Amino acid sequence: MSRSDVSEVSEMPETMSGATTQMQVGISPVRKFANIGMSIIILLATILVVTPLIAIFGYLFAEGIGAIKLIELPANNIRHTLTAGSLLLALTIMVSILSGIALGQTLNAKSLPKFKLISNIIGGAPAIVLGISLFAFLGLTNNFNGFGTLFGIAALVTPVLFNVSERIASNPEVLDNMSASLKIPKWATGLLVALPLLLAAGFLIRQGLALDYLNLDFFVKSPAPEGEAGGGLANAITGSFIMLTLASIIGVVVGISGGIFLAEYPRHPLMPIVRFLSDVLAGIPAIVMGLVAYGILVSSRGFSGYAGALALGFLMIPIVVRTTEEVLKLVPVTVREAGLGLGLPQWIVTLRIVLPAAASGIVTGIMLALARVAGEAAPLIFTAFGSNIVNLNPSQPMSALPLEIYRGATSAYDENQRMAKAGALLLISMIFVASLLARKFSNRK
Amino acid sequence: MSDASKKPANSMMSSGSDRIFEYIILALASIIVLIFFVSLYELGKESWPTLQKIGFNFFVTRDWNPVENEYGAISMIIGTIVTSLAALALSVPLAIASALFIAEYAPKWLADPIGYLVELLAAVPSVVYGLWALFVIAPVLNKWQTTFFDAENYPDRFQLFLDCSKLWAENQTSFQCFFVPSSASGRGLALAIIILTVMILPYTASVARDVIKLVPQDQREAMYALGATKWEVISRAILPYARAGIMGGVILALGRALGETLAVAMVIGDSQDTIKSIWASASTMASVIANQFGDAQEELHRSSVVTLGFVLFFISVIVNMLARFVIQRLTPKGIKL
Repeated sequence: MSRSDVSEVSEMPETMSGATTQMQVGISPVRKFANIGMSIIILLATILVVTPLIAIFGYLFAEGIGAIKLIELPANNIRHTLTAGSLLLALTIMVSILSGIALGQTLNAKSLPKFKLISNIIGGAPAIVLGISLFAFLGLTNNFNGFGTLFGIAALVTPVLFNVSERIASNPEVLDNMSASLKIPKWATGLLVALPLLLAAGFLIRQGLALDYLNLDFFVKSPAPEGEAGGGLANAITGSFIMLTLASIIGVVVGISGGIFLAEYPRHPLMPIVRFLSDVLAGIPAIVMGLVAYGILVSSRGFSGYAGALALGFLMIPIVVRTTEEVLKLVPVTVREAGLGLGLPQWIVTLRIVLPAAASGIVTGIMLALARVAGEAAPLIFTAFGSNIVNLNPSQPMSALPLEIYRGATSAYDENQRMAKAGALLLISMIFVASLLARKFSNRK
Repeated sequence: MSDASKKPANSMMSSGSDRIFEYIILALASIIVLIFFVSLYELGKESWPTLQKIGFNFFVTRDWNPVENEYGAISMIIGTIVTSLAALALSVPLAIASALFIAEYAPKWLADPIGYLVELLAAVPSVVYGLWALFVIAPVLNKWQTTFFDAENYPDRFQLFLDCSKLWAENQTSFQCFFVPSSASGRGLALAIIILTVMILPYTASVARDVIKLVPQDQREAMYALGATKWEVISRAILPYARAGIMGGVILALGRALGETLAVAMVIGDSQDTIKSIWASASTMASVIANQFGDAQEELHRSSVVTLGFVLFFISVIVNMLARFVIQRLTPKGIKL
């Protein structure tokens, strides 16, 4: 590359005349080529980075939906599928742009903070609901996977379009022009925000009712014996839910306390040790945590949901500690001083003033930690172990979604593999919603 | 009078309650310290039989044979290092490029959604990556690998495979044979490297993006004022300035790659042989724990598997310390990260 040219540039500060010559000469073709070439390479690399996500999402949509069988239509009608699918695609894009514009407008209308929160929640919803209505339509494409992949891409494009149009619409000038031309009062804007949501929900319900094929086995039944068709993942869904609840108790209590300790007692002699060990714990592989939980609980008492929850809780702690510490440090000192100046003891200042001020950030941290451990199967293999029936007692072996995915995906039977794909679709959707919510929360900071 | 007598009482009460609160917080925060030492103790206790009976030989011998009760971890240690470093080498340029795109090239309306997609990449669970690799990438690799076993349509490739098999049978390999598939299952070292690359991308990318955004605007403007092109500004002003943070992100990704378990366990094939081809089955420390701990009945077998976990534990501590050291060493003066 143009090394000599570049060194010329970096030597430039020594003389003013050098700079003027450079300006007169202009940029040499080699440098120009390097500049343009690198920007193209960077663009291509970015596309390459994002591709796996789209591919995974599309694949799971295409495959997982067939196993969930939310709606089943007579197959072999590709033309019907195509027509309906293209219509939905157009609808998706239109609705996401529309709802984005509506949200952008609402956000900039300087309305009440409460209204802002509501519209924020609703604003996140269209993408989710559209995703669900895509689920419904994909039922049509059971044996036409390429088309399902297309829909997976559409589902990912939706939030992007939504974000883009939200941004454009929250530009004050666009807003002024629009509200001037449309003359919409505030409540009508709110309705406009809710409209896509209602439309999509209504569409979904109508489809479901009209076809009468709504199959909820996936959510309410335990797995069928290995290799047989039918059944569901109810055992994994309840198991995941129970263990994550127990894990969050450990993760939230210890994590927030650790964060408070690091942020509010910076001069305590133990502070550097706690900070260092918390960082170290964040880097320890999940499977090693599984071995630790095995040593603590399983080797003496056998496999149990408690042991799984313990391992997951350990994994949550460092994430919650770090985010809590960071947001607590963002709370201005003046806020603390104001509280102390009123004669409040420090612990009341911490609990009643500083923590609420940092609440949204802490919730973000908890959501991120949950999203992280919800997908962990490695620490559960030797702790929760798995169970083929719905088990609500955490002192017994329990199943979890990632565990079922792992077992199913490595199974030799086609039916189990399909179930694993369906479980993966459910898991990935839940995790995406959690990170979407976490993002919305942190944006309000 | 009453005011004066109230005040000290009040402040004493508050300092008393403050102290109680401090103790509670301290006690809860010490659980973190406790977890670390309990982990150390539990792993140490379980791996003691191996450390005692096999000792240092565990780390330098190759035979891993539960039937004969022989355990040597060198092939897994090599597998872990090879997969992690190869994945790192592939992912770092991509990650930095995408960070540059998000922070420097893309307009804001595009940068935010793409940044979001990259973060979502980190949210995809390990098992889902494994499942995708197994059901989508493996068949593609498999299709290409089968051509090496197809004597009719691809005689050249088949001949190459035969030549290499002879070499492999003598436990040797050559540069060319290293890239010839030894089986047509699609699974193996290469697939593990591919999936690890994708998995660690977002860690480097999001850290790099954050530090690149922290580079002061003055640095860019000073460089532009000298007549530099955009790429020159990036390569001469921005990247050197952000190198400490980027290196930190790279080491974070390395830590993830070393400990990544299920996705690798699902695709790598769990074999403890010498690596003779990049397409052959292999194993990493984490994948052996996942694949063998449940079946390990013998005390020594179980203990050896836990010893692998113990080693991973120490490696993650060392990688963490390394990251801190690198960030401290490389940070240009006057920056607070």
